[in-house]
Amino acid sequence: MTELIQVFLNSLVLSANYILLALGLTLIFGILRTLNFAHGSFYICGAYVVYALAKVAGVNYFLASVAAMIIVGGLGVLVEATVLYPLANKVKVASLGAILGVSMVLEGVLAFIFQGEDVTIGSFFTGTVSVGGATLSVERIMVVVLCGVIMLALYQWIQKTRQGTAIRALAENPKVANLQGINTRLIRYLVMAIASCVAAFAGAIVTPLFYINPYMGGGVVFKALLIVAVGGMGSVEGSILAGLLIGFVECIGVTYLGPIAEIISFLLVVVIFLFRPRGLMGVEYEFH
Amino acid sequence: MAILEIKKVTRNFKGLSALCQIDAEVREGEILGIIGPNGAGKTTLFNVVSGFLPPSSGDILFEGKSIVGLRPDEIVRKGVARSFQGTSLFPASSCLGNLIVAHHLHKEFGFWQSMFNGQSYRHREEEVAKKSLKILEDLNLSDKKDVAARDIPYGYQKMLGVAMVLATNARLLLFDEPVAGMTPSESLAMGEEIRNIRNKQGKTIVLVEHNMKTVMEICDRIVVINHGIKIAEGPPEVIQADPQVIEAYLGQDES
Amino acid sequence: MSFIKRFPKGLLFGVFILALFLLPVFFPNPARIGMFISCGVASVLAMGWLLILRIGCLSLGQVAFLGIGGYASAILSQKLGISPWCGLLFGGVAAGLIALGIGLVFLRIRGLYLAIITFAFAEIVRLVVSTLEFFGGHGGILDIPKYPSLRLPGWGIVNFDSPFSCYYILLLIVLGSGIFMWRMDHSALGRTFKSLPQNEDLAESLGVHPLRYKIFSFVTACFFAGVVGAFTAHYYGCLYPGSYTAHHSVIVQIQATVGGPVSVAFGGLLGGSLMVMIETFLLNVDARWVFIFYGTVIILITFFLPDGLLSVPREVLKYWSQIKKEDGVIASR
Repeated sequence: MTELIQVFLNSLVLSANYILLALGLTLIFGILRTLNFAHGSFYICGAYVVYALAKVAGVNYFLASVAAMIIVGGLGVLVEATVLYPLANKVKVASLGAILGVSMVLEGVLAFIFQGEDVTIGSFFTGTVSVGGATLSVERIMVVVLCGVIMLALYQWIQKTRQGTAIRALAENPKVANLQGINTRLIRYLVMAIASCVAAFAGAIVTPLFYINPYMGGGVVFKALLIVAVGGMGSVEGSILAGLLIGFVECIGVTYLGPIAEIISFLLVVVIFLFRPRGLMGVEYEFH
Repeated sequence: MAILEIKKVTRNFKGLSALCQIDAEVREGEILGIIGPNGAGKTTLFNVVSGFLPPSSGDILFEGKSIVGLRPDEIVRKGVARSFQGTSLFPASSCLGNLIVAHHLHKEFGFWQSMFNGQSYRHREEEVAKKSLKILEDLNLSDKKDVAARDIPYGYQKMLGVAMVLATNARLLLFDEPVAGMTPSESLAMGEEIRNIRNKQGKTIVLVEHNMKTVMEICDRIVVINHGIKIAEGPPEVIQADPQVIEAYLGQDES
Repeated sequence: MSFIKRFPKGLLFGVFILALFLLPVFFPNPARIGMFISCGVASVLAMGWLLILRIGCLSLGQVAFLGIGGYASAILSQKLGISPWCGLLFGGVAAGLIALGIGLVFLRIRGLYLAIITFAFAEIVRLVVSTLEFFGGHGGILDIPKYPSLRLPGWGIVNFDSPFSCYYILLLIVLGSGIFMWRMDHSALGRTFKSLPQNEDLAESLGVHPLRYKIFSFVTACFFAGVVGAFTAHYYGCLYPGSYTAHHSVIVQIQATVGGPVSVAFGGLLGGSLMVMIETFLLNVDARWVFIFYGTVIILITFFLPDGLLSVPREVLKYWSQIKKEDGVIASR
């Protein structure tokens, strides 16, 4: 029983990680209609900013995290302005190539500055908590809690506020949204800023848990991409659902089957695509 | 003689019946028009007949044999070809290139044949190129043979689309809104062309159209569909006078 | 008409091939030849990537087939004693068969989702070979037999224990793949490939069986990736799963895009070789530049030359005729 609870809690943590990243990615796809391959790099950038400020410069962890979010948010807007928007109407292959380029440049720059060794800032929240015999570090609980907070905040914002409505309008039909007087460029900046902030936030809360290196971005974003695709591109609920699904499947698999279980999540993706090519909550808009 | 028989064809989409028990036949050598309000199921019918969608129930016989369950490319080989709404082209390829691809079924080539560039293959390529150039000449597009198809005027694009369907050498041709978006004179020319295809090449033609003038002028018979159900069938004069049709459809359209 | 006038392209090509054969003679430094070999490997992968692009698919997992070929040949030679020479063929066949299998199932899917599947597949392959002991796990496979000597008529016994001689093996592979893919692209097959991403439904309604043609393209590209993967296994003598990551597939994409889809064979050759040469130079300076280099290149190419370097002649011609037109207008005033 204890073991089950432990696995359940671990799965929640993993899912929370995935969801945080998938949320930003799915938002960007839904509104900007691009796959932001640089999202992983934003995540790692956020982690490194926190590392640089907190560990090296001795700044308070919270302040460092906020700074990371602001800096990376700005970076996101910069990327949108210089790369994504100009390529928005061109062939998909082109914009994907460019965004991959952006992520490589970011990783390269980080490697230059931080030398590519694995670093960590060590736990910030100390102590563990016991739930029914299973233990979980406070750190990891914070990850789950904060993830939940972000999810709620995003949901509220998108459903209830004016900007949120504008964003949903833009996601449905950019041209009409423009005609309705919605400043699409501004909205795009806003979405990119928010998504990048969330990515940086994910990076910031994860730094204490793991070792990071500049090249982690690639693996992370591809995983997040799979989750977004499984959940349905552009669907926030889908990302949450898929994040939970894949997080649990992976965690349970790895606990009982060993590292080979990582394959399961990829196989799952492949299988889901076969039967529901638009993802769990994706919208069907083609018949053939 | 019925070249195509549509027997109680139904097509459902998640609880919605796009086509419901449609019974119709197309007689050899005729020009049949299919009309109906938007969303009535006309294109769905085309998609089912040409193999892009399977019917939920019912059967479709071409020249007496069932074609349900065949892939679209198999159905073309059997002799039924179709065009698509809008421009039925390969936009980035040249006009000549479009026609050459359209001749795909002309002496089909195999994998190794293409790779080794044997004599029969080269002969075939020359033939297809010649035929395509001739078609471009007839369409007055010779000077635009290397221009991308998306860069030629809309009217020409529609004509090219029709020529491509012809290139398949099919006996039954399904045209989806062949004159949509065309000026009155262009529609007239297209209507002429469709009649010529039937008269001079002996093809059987079915068209889905909204342009009533064209439909009434060139069709021998008309089938009217509304909400997936056939509500009327007959020659143009009868259809024009049918109260159900008028209520459902005519009067909203330009004639 | 003189031979030169009748076949200018053929002659140029002949000179080019001769130059490739003489390359190790002019640059005998083994490290340099090692670089040429890397160029060749990258070229074959890039050509395959471009061939797959023809059918409208973005292959985000091209290196997986490199790995499949390598592992197949390595295991066959280590466990069954099969000669590395045969291994080249078996590597290609293994990659080709697997490509056929996943192609039949997944090539019906269109667009972005297909690209995601190619990536997922590549990761599955990498995870399988890095976790299962049969494939050597994280450490990979070591002590893979090198190419045994051959007795060639007229040459006597030829050893293949140096980069110099292995270069020629690879050159033959590159030429074979290049000519095959070039021919495919320029034939009716290539024409049909190009029609699919433009309007697959229309192609289908004109008698094209889309899956069949997508399979032709995909399996061919992956077959050659497998052959060259088998080559690398025996040339380097070892294999590591870490060489087949998503990052590597992205680099294949960047190299291929630099060469450009104007020509599958020449674009792949140019893109692969050029980028590897620059990469090698940068590695000698400071390895950290490599990522920044690749990233910057793809961004610049996307904005200024989206169809790659091979589109430069075409763009220059366009620019010239624009200028001439404007001159004409001004002169007539």
